[in-house]
Amino acid sequence: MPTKKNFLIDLIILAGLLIALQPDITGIAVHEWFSVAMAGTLIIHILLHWDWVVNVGLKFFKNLFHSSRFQFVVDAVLLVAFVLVMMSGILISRSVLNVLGIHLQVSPTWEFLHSTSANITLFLTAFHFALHWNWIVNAVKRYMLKPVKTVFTRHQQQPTPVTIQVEIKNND
Amino acid sequence: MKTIVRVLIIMLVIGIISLGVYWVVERSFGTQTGVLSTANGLEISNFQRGDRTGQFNGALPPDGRGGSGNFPSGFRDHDRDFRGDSFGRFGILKSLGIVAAITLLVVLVQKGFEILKHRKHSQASA
Repeated sequence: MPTKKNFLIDLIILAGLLIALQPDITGIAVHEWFSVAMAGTLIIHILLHWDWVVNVGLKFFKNLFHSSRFQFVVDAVLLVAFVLVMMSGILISRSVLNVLGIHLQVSPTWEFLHSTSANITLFLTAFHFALHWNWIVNAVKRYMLKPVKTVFTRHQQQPTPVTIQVEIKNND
Repeated sequence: MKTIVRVLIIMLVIGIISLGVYWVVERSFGTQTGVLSTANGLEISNFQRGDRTGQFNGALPPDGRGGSGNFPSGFRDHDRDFRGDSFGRFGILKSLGIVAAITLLVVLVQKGFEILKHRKHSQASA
């Protein structure tokens, strides 16, 4: 998967997460279905970074004090937080389970866990984002700033006059 | 085929984490979330049948007494009907602000470590 597509999908996931964390904007029903869709993007995100996950995971204890190990731990905790927020969301959901014909009695504990884990997920996502800052900066430069810069420089470039020396030989 | 296997592995991991989290929460808090009744009357074991007949729809029958202006006791925040709020967009800005602040903090700490490392290196070589 090229970095450009990866970067685009990651941006969409981040935007989606920020929207999913605000049920006030969308309303509860949209919030619930949107969050279910977010679970799908989470799987796609892991699939796109599968090689990194497997590489670091298999060699985790070989070089324990490498920065990638810290990233791996943060990512693992983030995955648990995501699972908790999704699971608690499903257990207190009204629209999604209603469609499936399932009616659960909402427990205040799961409500509390849902809101708390949502906040933790936001913080961990920010941490995840920060730990991959260099990759993000490079991608922004390469796929967002560079194309804009080339458009402007193309317009600014004036055709430089080319002098051609022509020698006319007189055969006389 | 490779992708399907990977998806299955991810789903398996998510399933294991879910079960683990559920087990820990149930053991720690004893929420008894259960209470499951399906449309066709099926029940899943370990769940108890609920006695709730409907959901709060925002309208309470009049009780002939003056209200206190507060929600009735037992009202759960999640039952509020979110209809969408145009001011909620500030919530997104707040979340973005949190992401930006944490990113700035982490990047600054990383840079600080890099500078310290560089100084140590140059002192050792001098």
